[in-house]
Amino acid sequence: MPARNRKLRSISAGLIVLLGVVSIALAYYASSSYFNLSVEREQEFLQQLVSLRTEEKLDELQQNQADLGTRLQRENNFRTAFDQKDLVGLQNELNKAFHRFFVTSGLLDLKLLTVFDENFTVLAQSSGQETPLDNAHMLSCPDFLEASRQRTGADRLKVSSWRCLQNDQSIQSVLVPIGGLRPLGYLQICADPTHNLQQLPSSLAMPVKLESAAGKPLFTSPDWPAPDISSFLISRNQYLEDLGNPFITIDAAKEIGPFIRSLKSSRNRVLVGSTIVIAFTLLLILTLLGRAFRPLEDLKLAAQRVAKGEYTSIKNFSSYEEIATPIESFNKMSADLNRENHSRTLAQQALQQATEDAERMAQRAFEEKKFTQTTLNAISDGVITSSNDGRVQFMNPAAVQLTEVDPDLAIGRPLEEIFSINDQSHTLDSDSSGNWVNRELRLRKATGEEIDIESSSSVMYSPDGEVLGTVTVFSDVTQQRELTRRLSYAATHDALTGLVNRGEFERRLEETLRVAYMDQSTHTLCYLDLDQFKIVNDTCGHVAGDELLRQLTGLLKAKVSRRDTLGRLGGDEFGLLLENCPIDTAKNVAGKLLDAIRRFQFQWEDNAFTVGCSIGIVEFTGAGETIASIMSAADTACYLAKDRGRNRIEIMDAENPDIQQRQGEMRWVIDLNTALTQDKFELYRQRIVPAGIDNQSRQHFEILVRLRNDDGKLVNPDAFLPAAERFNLISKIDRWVVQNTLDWLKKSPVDDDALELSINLSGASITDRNFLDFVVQKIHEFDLNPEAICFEVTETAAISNLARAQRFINIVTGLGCKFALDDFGSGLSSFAYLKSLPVHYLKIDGLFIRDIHRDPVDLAMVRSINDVGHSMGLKTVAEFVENQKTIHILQELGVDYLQGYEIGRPEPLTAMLPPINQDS
Amino acid sequence: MQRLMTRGWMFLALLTINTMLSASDELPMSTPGATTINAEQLIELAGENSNLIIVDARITDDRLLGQIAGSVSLPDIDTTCETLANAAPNTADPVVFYCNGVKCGRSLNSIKVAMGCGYKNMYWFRGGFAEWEQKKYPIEKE
Repeated sequence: MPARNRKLRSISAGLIVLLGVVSIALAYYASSSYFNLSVEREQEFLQQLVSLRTEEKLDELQQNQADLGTRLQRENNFRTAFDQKDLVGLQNELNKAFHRFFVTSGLLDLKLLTVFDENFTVLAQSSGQETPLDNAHMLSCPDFLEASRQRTGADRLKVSSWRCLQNDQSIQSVLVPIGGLRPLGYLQICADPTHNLQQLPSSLAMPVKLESAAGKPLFTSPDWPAPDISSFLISRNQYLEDLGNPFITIDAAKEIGPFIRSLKSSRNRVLVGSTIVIAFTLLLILTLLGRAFRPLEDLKLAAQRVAKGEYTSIKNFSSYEEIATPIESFNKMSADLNRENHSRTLAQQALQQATEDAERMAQRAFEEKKFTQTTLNAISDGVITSSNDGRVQFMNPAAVQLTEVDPDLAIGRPLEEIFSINDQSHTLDSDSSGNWVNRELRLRKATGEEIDIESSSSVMYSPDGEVLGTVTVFSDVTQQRELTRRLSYAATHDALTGLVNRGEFERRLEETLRVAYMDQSTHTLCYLDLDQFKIVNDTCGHVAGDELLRQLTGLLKAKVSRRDTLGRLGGDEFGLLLENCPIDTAKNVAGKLLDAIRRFQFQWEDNAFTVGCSIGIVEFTGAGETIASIMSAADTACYLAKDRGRNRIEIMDAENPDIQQRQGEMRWVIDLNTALTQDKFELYRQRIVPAGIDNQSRQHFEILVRLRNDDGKLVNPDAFLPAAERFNLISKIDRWVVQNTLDWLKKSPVDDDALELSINLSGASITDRNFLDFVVQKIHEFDLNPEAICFEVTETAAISNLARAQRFINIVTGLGCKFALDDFGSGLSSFAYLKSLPVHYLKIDGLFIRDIHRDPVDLAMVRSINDVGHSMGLKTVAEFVENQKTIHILQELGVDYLQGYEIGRPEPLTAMLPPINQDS
Repeated sequence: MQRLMTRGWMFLALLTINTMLSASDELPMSTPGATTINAEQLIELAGENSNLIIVDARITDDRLLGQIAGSVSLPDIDTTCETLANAAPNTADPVVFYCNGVKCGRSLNSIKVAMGCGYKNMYWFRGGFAEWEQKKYPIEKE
């Protein structure tokens, strides 16, 4: 085997070396061919160049010959001799012509000049010799002359040229017509072209040799190379005369030594380069062959070892796939043999181990079963297992307790009977795999009672995938679920009214808004704010307020449909979300609600209250609104409703200028603060006159405040006082009024003894200790007659802060000021309070006065208030006196003072005071 | 209607010819009042008429390059009935006009003047000196 191995290697190597030698030979042949071809091309090029230059020289000569002929015949002597057929004269002229410019300048080597008549008969001839030729004329190129003679028509006028041999002499002959357009004869000019061709060496820039047709050397360049110099390329060009015989031969020698050297050197470079490449390639192939053979050697050794029983493998072998595959196969075979040998031994060990394991497992299974049963008995979750045909196999005590079945009867019964689910949507086999987890169900006990359970079920499989049955685990979550329900309800509802709370209301609004975004549907939000609710709360306490809200809620709920959302947004604020409801429908609904609220009478103990409501409505269509913007818009509309006199509905309309102007309550804060700092408030006054004959000489006015807005319009306090109260600016306004009123009184030309001015104070001001100090300080500061000043405070304001009000009134009246209880009657407070309030006037609420002439109830109210007031020593004042009839009634009732449009409209405080009517 | 169309076609044809002329810059093939001839016809004419007058309408500078043998120099700008009468006293004489070549309008200008003077036997060598020289017919130089 080794001998054969070596042979294969030697043959491969020998073949490869042979291939290399052939390649080098080919490279040599290719470069030599290229060399020869290049030299041939050079020769061809040289031949073309010589030919081109020779033609140039011959054409030049021909041109000179024609010019000579033309010029000669124009000379007068020649012409005269020709016209007169003076042959001797012609001969003379021709002889002279030989010495002319053309010849002497070397432009041509003139050989023969001949003049013919029109029939080509020789008239004269000159060959440059002094002695004229005898009669035997020498005809140069006779064939040419014959051909010219036979020309006809216009062709005879053409200048023609010819090359011929004359006694081994090369001649170029040119024939020029004489006589212009009507040829009268011809002039033949013969010249030797050798003279002109001698200029070739300079125009070709190489040595030239000329030979005659017979091989006689005519001209040789002095630098013509010696015959033994091989670095010259000789080009031989043979020219023929017009009849086809040899005319002249031109040899040109071109120095091509450098060119040959460069060719040879590039040929050598190619040879050396290719030899190196081929040698390298050979080396590479031999190396690769060596690498390929080595693993095979290893394979041989390994096989020998396997034969001896050593199951070895070949670790590091060549990565050629062709070699690797048999080696891998060998390794696998070796490993397989090794494994087989091992497995016999292992099988025996395993058998022994298995026997031991089986014993151990049986013991563990027994323990585990015991453990499982104990666990199942202990846990509070119910566990039922059933067989694969759905019959109950086992129930733990918790399961028995939850289902309340008799465990002895239950075993073997269908699972559905024992584990009775009262939920049609969740049947036991609803899951394709038969498993479920954490499903919330209701279980019907054997007693018929139902409980909420959370249940999981899973199918049991044997190790070979067979269904053994089902395990159902469940627990009672009734209490847990009830708690969740309650918590959820509490989180979203108002405890007092049971309506949804603000958070839930906004969540539903957001939901609706999302729907609107998607389908551009129209929805409406109503914002309800109760009026006069605060009175009930303040006068009767929170219990009454809460009861009022509860009753009102019942009333409102009855007026809205189930799908609309009514929510309590704050103390006395409600929201109503009307889904898919256009503004007109919403207005109707709001109208019904408003009507219901106004008709509603709230009874508390002995008192009956009515409340009002201001409603703001806003429509939204999902066109870029947000919850905040919708709520704010509805609030603004509601606020406007309040502003315009309460108990009314305002629709949020972006184009309503009032809305635009007042959008956002914060605007008022800015406006009012600006008004305070820039004195934009103005004081007005309204007359209060005695109803009957009064000995009081003072003129009595109520001071009213107005706000001059940016447009220069006057704004009534109804518009800004609610906002002022809400933002705690009311006290500041009161201070402004007090300050300015006293200031005016001080500066007024009218004596303060002749006036009494009533200044309204808010509830907030009279409870403010600082305000009291302010008033006391001002009265001292201005040093006025305190009797000229009366303070008015509303009945409700006084009663809701009774202690402070008492204190305020006591101190101020102690200074000498008067005090009036305003809007008396509207609060329906008990007259008993009056005893504790040391006031001077009782101003009956205008609401009772306005309709007194047609409403007997109002009349009775006024009468009783008036009587009570008088009985307590107080003066009564009737407001809202708007007609004469009312004046009469009030006078009959004995009311002390009257105030209202019929008496006097409000006018600026600074206007001239009317003269005191002494008679009234 | 038909007349209108015919007129339209004529107009179109004229326009096309005009465009072709301006595109090549060459002179028309013929001119009224003269017979167009080439170099060979000129030589033949010269052989037939011993009194043939050849008028070279080029400016005198151009003649330095050469001229047709026997031609008389009379540049078109100097051509009047008077100067013409010097060259060809008889209006019945055969007169050939030439100038530089097919793009040279001088010979045509001279022919127009000659027509006005009453010459009746006129020839126009349209190819002019360029054709003469190219065909290797004898050239005179001053």
